[in-house]
Amino acid sequence: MTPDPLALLRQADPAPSPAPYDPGCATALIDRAVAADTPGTGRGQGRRTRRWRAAAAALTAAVLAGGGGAAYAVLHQPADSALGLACAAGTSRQEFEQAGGSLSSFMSVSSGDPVADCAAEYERLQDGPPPALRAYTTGASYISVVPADWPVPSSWQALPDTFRNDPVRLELRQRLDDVLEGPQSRCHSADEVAALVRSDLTDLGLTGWTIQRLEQARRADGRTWCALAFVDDSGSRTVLLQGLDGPASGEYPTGEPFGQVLQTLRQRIAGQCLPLPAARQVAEQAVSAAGFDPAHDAKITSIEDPVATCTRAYVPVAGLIEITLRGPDR
Amino acid sequence: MTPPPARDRQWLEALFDAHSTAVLAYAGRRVPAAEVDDVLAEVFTAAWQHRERVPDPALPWLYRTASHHVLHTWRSRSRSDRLLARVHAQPAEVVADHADEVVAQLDQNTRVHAALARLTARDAEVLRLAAWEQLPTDELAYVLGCTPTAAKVRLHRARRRFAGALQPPADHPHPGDALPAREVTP
Repeated sequence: MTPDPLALLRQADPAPSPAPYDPGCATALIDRAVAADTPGTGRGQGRRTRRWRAAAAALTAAVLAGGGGAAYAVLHQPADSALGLACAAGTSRQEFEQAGGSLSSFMSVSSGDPVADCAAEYERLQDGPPPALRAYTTGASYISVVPADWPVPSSWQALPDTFRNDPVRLELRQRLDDVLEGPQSRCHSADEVAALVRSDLTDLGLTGWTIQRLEQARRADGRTWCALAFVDDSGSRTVLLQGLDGPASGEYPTGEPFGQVLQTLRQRIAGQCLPLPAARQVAEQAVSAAGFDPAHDAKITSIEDPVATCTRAYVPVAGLIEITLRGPDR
Repeated sequence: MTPPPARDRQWLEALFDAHSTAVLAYAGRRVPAAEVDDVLAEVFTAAWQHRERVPDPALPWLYRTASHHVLHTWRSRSRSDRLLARVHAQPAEVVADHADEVVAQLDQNTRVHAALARLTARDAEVLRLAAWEQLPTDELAYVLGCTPTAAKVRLHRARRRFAGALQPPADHPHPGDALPAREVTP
């Protein structure tokens, strides 16, 4: 008899019976909550900003402790390097206001135009035209996009309609996150990832960048870490390398749907030389063939690169299938 | 008729006593251990900020608020941290000298978590809420922000897809090794 999937999931609960919260800490937590805020002041954003700054400072400390000696401007992230996007699609105005400006739909910036990316998400979720949207910096590590007529916290700063992410930095991020052929496509050692990053920096014409390895304890099982790379979010020209205690994200079995999509994209786009429209058709077909709906389960972004010879495809790990294609129109 | 109790500090303390363990468990299932306290603090601070609007029973509202902070936590961290967190959220690796039945259970858990990771975020969350938080349909609907009927349909579909994801892939002879860790020589 086939076991009930929910019963199996219950047995695999990672936190079946957590210990009660320490009473002393509970009192301190309640003291802070009561003292810190009055209803509707929107100060939650301030708290999050402070936490982000603390985390950034901790990251800097870790890097410096690792012997890098690099200096980081961690307290504020330039908008053009903030490649995460919080989009109001799927969130009601009431929820947005109740959550003090917090949004539940996050994605990577694919096109470099945060408003266009969020508008595409509205269309994906709602099957309709999006409202007029406006992008803001919020002091956090991402850009928020909400309908232009929604009131936003006073700390947010509107970005001009002409704002675009730094395209080269954006593509570097896409390469580092890529599970088709990038560092996360399979388990690479730190040396292998460093070589990939050096090659990417050269391809993109980026000079003056450094590659910094974060200090990391040995794995308990004695094996070598599978390494990954990411751009330091502070806006500096640094790529950080860190070990991942598990398989690389691109190592999906080819028997499961997302693995099928990856395999098709590797074979028919990365392994070929296609113009952009043909590559898009391949991507849509790959998504459909794996049982997904290209309009609703995937976000496929085409970006024309007139000087390229062949289309490049990038796929990050995300909540939905995000495929970014960059290539020549013909 | 007894007036509703004032929403003062005692109300918050009672709310915390009643639900902090459930919120801790919710957060502990979704974010790395180092972030759990932050989520807990954010949720109860939000409850205080919006105390006039917190419904009774409050737990579904607390879960829904926690879900915003969980998403915020994940997206605020660098991608690598998220990946690490996702991996660390999996059950511990099997240790060779454990009893057979413990090993079997851990293998099973690994398989279940791997199947869950193959689902969309929406499917995975509805299943977690049903299995781990054990929410009834109306509370599930509240947390998900949809009607009870829609919640039922979403759970039904997610359950079906999860059952499919639990099946071993045809080209993978060992279901427990669906996402094998690979040894690399630097």
